[in-house]
Amino acid sequence: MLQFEKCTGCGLCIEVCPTKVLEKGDKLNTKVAYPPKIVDGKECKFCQECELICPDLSIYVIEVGKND
Amino acid sequence: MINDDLILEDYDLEPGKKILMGNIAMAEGAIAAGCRFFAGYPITPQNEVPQHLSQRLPEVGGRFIQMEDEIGSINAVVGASFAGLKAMTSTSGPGFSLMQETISMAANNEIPCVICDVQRAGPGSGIVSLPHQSDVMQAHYGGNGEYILPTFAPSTCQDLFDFMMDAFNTAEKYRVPVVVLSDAFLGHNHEQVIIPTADEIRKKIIPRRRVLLDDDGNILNPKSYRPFTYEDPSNRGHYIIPPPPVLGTEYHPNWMPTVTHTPDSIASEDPYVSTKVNEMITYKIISNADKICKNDRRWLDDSNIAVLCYGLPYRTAIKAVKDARDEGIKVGIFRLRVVWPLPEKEIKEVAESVDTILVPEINLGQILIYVKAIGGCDAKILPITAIGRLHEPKEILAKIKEVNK
Amino acid sequence: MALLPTYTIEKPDHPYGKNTFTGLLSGHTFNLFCRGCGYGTIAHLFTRVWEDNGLDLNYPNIVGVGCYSMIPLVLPGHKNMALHGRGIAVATGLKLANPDLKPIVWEGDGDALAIGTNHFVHACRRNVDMVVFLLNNKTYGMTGGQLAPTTPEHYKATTAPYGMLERPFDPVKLAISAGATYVARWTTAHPRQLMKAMKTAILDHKGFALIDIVSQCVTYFGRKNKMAEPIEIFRWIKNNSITIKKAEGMSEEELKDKIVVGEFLNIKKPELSEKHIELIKKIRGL
Repeated sequence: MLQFEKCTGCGLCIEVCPTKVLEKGDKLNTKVAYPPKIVDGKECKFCQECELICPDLSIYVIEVGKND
Repeated sequence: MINDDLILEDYDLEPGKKILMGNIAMAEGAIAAGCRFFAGYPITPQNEVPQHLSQRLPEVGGRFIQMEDEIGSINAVVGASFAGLKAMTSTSGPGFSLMQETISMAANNEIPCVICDVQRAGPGSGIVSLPHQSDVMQAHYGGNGEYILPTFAPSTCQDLFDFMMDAFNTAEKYRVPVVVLSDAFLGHNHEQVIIPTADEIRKKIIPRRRVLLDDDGNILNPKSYRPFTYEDPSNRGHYIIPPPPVLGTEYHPNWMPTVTHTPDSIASEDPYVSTKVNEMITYKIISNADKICKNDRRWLDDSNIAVLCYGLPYRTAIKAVKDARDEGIKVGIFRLRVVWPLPEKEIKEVAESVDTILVPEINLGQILIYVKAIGGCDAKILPITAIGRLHEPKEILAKIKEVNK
Repeated sequence: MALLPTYTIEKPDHPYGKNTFTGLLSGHTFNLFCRGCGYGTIAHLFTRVWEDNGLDLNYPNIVGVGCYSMIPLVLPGHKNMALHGRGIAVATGLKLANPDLKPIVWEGDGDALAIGTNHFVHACRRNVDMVVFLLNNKTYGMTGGQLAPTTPEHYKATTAPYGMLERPFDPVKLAISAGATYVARWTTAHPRQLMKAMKTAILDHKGFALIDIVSQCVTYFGRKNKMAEPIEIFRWIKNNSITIKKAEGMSEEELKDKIVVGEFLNIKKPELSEKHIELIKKIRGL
């Protein structure tokens, strides 16, 4: 789950993801930053690494098994 | 129980007459007033204060710590005051200079504490064993920014005992750091001190609580607690001063910043908020000056010369004035117990009723400028200075005779 | 004070952060740090430890002066501020006056190792029961990126345009030789180990605990040293981190610029406020 408007586009979640599910997006949000988007075909393992590293509390896991 | 089970709330020394050294009388006065935390650093001429308190405070359940420097001492006092204990420190001139940043912060955040300054002579390291009323201006203007601290000036060892109770009461009631100015001679002087009974002391002091009470004596609801002084909306110029917050309980704001903040503890960059805060910090003391200052006036009704003094010079001035009156000269004495805030109204009244005011001080004239500003149009204001020594009564008597022509 | 954010928040909201200062004001947390700053991560991890273990008002936060002075926006519990470098002295007075409290002191590298070194060393020696989080971003962030006692040699800062000439401090070695009883160093690239160390220091240890947290400062340390993107400086920290075991066999040349992470010391020694309470009980005969 990604809070699109809250993200500042630092890119740390893309760096720490072990399965490389995320990559830099191409839509600007109100903070003039590029939040990440999910790469087609890869599977999120719900490891919560992105959730722990995000400084803005913008990306997090809601339910194991749901891919958003 | 007001605080916790270990602390003995009542004073435990036997009442009656005792011979005490000035520094010891000051320490015992603090314990009588309810002080249960001391953090200090050794510096002459106040070394007897931490030495005595290190033995006495565990007997009454208090905490004593010798910190690594004066800055650590005053910050530990601030921390103990946050936790809900009455706290004090004691130092001399150079240490007082080191503490100024924290004193300014304590004045901004309305943290009650007592700082005893046993002054020594001369700027710099000076002469440690001679008297000098050198820190009177520093007590008011030492730190950055504008604030005013009630400053007590005892003259005898009995004063040192009694003024400590007044100092702690003033700190609790007005939520402000309070300075008590002693000096090297007074600190090492042995004199008779009459110690009151525990009942009399208990009636006199204002206690510090961890569970706060409202005006009717019931337990205050934490949600209706406002942490800082605010102006009464129906009575401009009048300030409502709530009891200090206690860290670790619900009587504390969520975030207490050291920067300028509103009375509800929200940090602010608005110049109007800064104006209000500065006004509150100074005027809550000045508007209550008549309750804080209790001054002694004698023989002023029929006099045309007045001697205005505070601290050690009072001892010589009272003898000179009595001798002059025996010779028929109409002179009176006006003694200040509290130097800041200066009792402006009373000084102006005295200046209007006499021709000359003599101001003996053991410095180059630190409150002289203020007395001149208040009463200079109505009377002649003349200093009598001495540095590093007490005035002799014949000096003051000679000056009285000189202006009596 | 910052204005409340005007963007909409999608449901469901982040599971943590309701009890922080901004959470109580507006329902969700937000911070005012730079993009990519490590302090947001550290505050988030601390909030997780707080809410998972049910910590309460007996753990007051004392925050010093620096970039992290804005960290109370995203911290739970009661927060009190102290002057630059004096947070540890305030926490000493607090602990002695009320031994039921355990202060958590947030200090920076300039705070604790430049102006406040005296208080830091003496609190280690006295073994006062408190936890000190030393937020180490190797620079003075708030005032514009000046050199700090922890800036590595030959790296650039705004007051060291030709490179830092002095050798840096190692706060872990300083704390161990001064007498601290729990010393650890982790970085923002090791979030799970950092949370575990925070929990051990707060709940399972009695005595002076120091956790040196190395974090990235993108705007000053990163930009001055050719690591202008958060990812670059994050990779620099992660690749230069080595465990204690691996660092044992390496020489000083090889250890230059490396960050040794792990738990260095975890022992039990008598603690200051306990000694004071015992003395009072003995003298008063209780």
